[in-house]
Amino acid sequence: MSAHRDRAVGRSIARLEDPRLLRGEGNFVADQNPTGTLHAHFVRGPIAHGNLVNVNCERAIALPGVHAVLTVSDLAQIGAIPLKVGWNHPDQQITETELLASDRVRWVGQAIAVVLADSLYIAEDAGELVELELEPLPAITSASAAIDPDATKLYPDWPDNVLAEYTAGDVANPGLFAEAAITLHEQFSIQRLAASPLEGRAALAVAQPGSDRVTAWISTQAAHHASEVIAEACGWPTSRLRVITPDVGGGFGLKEAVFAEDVITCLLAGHFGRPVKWIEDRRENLIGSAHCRQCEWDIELAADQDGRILALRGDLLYDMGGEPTGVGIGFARVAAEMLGGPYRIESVEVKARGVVTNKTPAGAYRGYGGPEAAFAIERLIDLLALRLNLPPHEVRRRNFVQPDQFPYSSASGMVYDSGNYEEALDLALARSDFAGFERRREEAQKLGLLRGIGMASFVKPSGLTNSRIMAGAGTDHGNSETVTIRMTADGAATVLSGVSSQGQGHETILAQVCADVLGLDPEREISVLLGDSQMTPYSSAGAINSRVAIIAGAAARLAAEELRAKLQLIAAGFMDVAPTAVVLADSQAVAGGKSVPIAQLAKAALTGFELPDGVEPGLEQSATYDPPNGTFPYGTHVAEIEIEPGSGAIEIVRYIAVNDSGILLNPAIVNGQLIGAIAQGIGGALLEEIAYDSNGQIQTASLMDYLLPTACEIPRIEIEHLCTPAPHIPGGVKGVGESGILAPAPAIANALANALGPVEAQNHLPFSPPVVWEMIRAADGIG
Amino acid sequence: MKPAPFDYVRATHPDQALELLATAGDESKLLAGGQSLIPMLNFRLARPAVLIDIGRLGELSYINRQDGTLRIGATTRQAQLERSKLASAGWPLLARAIGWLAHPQIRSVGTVGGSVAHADPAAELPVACSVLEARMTVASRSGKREISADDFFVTHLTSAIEADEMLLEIAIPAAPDGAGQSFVEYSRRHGDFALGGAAVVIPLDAQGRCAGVRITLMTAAPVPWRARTAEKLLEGELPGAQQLAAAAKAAASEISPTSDIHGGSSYRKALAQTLCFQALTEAAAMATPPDVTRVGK
Ligand SMILES: Cc1cc2nc3c(=O)[nH]c(=O)nc-3n(C[C@H](O)[C@H](O)[C@H](O)COP(=O)(O)OP(=O)(O)OC[C@H]3O[C@@H](n4cnc5c(N)ncnc54)[C@H](O)[C@@H]3O)c2cc1C
Repeated sequence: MSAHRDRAVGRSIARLEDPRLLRGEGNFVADQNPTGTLHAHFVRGPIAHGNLVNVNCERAIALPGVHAVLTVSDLAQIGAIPLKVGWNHPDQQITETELLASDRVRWVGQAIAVVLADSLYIAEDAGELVELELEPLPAITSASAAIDPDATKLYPDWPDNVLAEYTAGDVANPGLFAEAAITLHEQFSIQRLAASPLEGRAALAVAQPGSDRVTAWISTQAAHHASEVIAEACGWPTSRLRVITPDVGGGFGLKEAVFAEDVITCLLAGHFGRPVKWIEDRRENLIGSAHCRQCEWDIELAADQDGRILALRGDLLYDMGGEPTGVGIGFARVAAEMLGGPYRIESVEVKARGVVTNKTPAGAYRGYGGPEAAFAIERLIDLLALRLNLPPHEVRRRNFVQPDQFPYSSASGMVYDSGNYEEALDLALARSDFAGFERRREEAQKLGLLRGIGMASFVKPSGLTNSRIMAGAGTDHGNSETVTIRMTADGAATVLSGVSSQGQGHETILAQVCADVLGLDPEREISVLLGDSQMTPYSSAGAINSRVAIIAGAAARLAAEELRAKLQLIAAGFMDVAPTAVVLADSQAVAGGKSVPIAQLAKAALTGFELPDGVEPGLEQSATYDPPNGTFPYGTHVAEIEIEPGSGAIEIVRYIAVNDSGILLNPAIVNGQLIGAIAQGIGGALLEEIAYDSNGQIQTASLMDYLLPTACEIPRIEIEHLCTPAPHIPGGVKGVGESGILAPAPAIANALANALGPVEAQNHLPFSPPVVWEMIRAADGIG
Repeated sequence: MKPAPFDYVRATHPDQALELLATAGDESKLLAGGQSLIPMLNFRLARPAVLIDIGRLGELSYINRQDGTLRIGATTRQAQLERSKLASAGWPLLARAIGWLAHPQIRSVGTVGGSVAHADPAAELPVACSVLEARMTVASRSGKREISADDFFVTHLTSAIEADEMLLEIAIPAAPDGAGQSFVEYSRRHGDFALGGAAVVIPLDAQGRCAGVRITLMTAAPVPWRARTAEKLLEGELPGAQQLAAAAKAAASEISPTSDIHGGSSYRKALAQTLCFQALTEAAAMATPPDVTRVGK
């Protein structure tokens, strides 16, 4: 044999998806145009809050080219029922949401009617002809306004505007606060963001001729879950609907939930027997899908004089918008549970309340509670350091969970798996030349610039947890993954998984995992099929919570190992050796000096002609994996910034990210995920903000005003890896997709405080140039 | 985001466009590069019955110099002006200004005339026209007229062009000999509309004193804002840091910019002062007294 192939895992092989995506040959929902398609357009409410007295569709229906205009009562007649919320908490006021507004509108952009027409142009023309009779009500535009006892109630039969509440931890010992050497009491707030995937939401549903079945291509993160939730809301058995995820142009959590538009597209395709297509445009995405992150913290911290944190307590008010999306108040709960961050804090009590406001509903977004918590705790740590006159890294060091304390059960019940938090901090300090910063500050000063350095440490629950624990928490799905691998007669393997990819490179990493076990070439001998609720194995949750590499990766590894065992048996027969002596490598089965091509073994297994006794024909294996616990990637980031005092502009001059996501399957993909997450984190720190006026009108309905960072605004990100294997996961992988997004905002906030001195505004995101300009004035005692 | 229905005509000659404008009048809109108009159509903020496409009228796409005046045809692409050696030889401010304008993709489609006609006070080219004292030639079926930059920009997104008129040409007179020119701005992201900006021309007399300084502020008022008080303040002064700082302060004190979600009025005012000072300083550094020997040129 010639040169041996390197192991695939751990190598940055080129992504298998890239040839088609980079050449523009990807296949997205919008690329498919079956003949006879009806185009759906949703008529959306123009005011933030009001009684919907009447909807008159007559003029719209009369427009030539219009096939139907329907309201929620029309949908009910077809058999639709409200959409179930997927994650419910005890006493949650809403567990299902209407498909279209019926008697009240609660945010600008809420869908009220759907138009089906021969073209989207006609559909939008007709949409303008739908007459809405609305009686305006006062708009509630912030969470704190919503809990005012005199606030207008969004739902008249509720006692107040609280949708649900959840307390993380236990009753924090009040004595600790009374007797502590140091107490801090601080407020923090995070602005509204929009996940903003490049491809908006999209659905195309086609009724299958000769049956009542419907096939839908949906831009979703979770094909199986979508098929279950949509079918239920359509009043159909799950098996009536097949959901396929073609190429998906980004999800970031937005496409985790099922939306009413997805349901209506499928329902109407089934009802009218014609293809129905809905492609969300950017404006609709910014006003009518979901927003995220907006919350207010009010937290007390107790510490001893050495800076050891003894207790945390306080409130989290989460602005849920007009109603919950499919994940309910899940992210608020996780935020409360993760407030302790990577620190050992024995006593924690955080009450999270999700409150309704007259704004677009809040949904999942990359990080899911983690960034909300990291911002609060990492600011608190720096404020504590300031109070004690200690370096900020010293306070972190004194409080970190230590390597010998894993698995570590936090006060809120999370079980952190493994790692060395201090090592990540030390590496970040070394790489950023933290010790030499004062000299750089002086250099900048000579140029009239204000320079600052800040850090943030984090830990991010990833890969959900065991399905039974999830059931206890109230979710509607578990956390198992099944992967099937089959071989073709040429010895190539096809890997099937129900997860879908929104650009993360899942095809590539699943191929890499299987390639090493089976001795195949990941680029030429393995193909991967994802995301089809009928044709791929069951995926409970799809591509969420950084779980694919962890859970589907483990299932793929186990399935490949079973397939390998069968190939070893067959090969042992061919070579007359013990099965355990057979090694699969370089597309061959090798034992001692002998070898057989895997293709020959495959042919034997598929034909059944030449099999050893006791070996059944066929070459297909499945394995299911459900983890005992999630994984906890962690790290420390350091941001060094320069502020131009005239404009308040922040330039990030260096950004160092030290990250531990366990074993790296493909370092280039991991780095891409980290850079992307950090870019989004920087966007949230400096640029992005969904703004409303006092009437609840959204002021950022296009990308001209909702400022996503572009390549010009993102500095070079310097990444360092630690690789502590997850001890409980086959393959040792930890989550990757989200871990990068927690630290940027607090690291930048802390750098601002370092540059300017402490100013209250550093606790409130985002740091736009006018805000920073005001901070400089506040720090100087002007204004 | 699909536009309301409209009829579309591609004009084959400027006269045909004027003919169509005369008949369709208020109901019609000229389409040049489409980089402002198409988004407005898609948001249904503009609903013309007829779109008259002049984007491909070669007759209106040119850059030349006659008697020292730079003449730019209305449908000249922004990128062409940015790269024009003729333009940068006498009016380096133009290429500086266009460098801030959106992104290369947009500049290669967007037209000079479209940007000027759109009359956005946060746009670069109207500010450049103001500070360079450009003259706009507009025409209708019944004839042509020339409008000074001061009269051309009426208010936010409104120019002096009548419904039956079309902008044909932008004429930029020769900049005073040796004048320093500068254009600075600040925007949230690369290529965004500016939060503030300043364009400055500083001519010097033989003694090196300011003689006829021009200052225009961006995003400061409903139109590109000529800061005349500040200009007068510098007249006859040496352009030292103190004088320039005083002028920048005076310029900013004249304006009351509108607040929006990207920045409040007081912030924008302070920013205008900073940027104005920066532009003045740059321009002063480049300015030289008129060259009596006139080498080259
Ligand atoms: C993402 C993006 C970012 C941008 N950023 C900037 C920026 O930073 N700075 C900036 O200045 N601009 C910016 N623009 C706008 C861009 O510069 C436009 O090209 C310009 O404003 C209009 O030129 P146009 O040729 O595209 O005109 P069009 O969009 O075709 O027309 C604009 C208006 O002018 C009228 N019009 C056009 N030509 C004539 C004429 N000859 N006579 C009379 N009326 C006419 C039209 O009827 C219309 O009302 C941006 C655009 C985009 C899409």
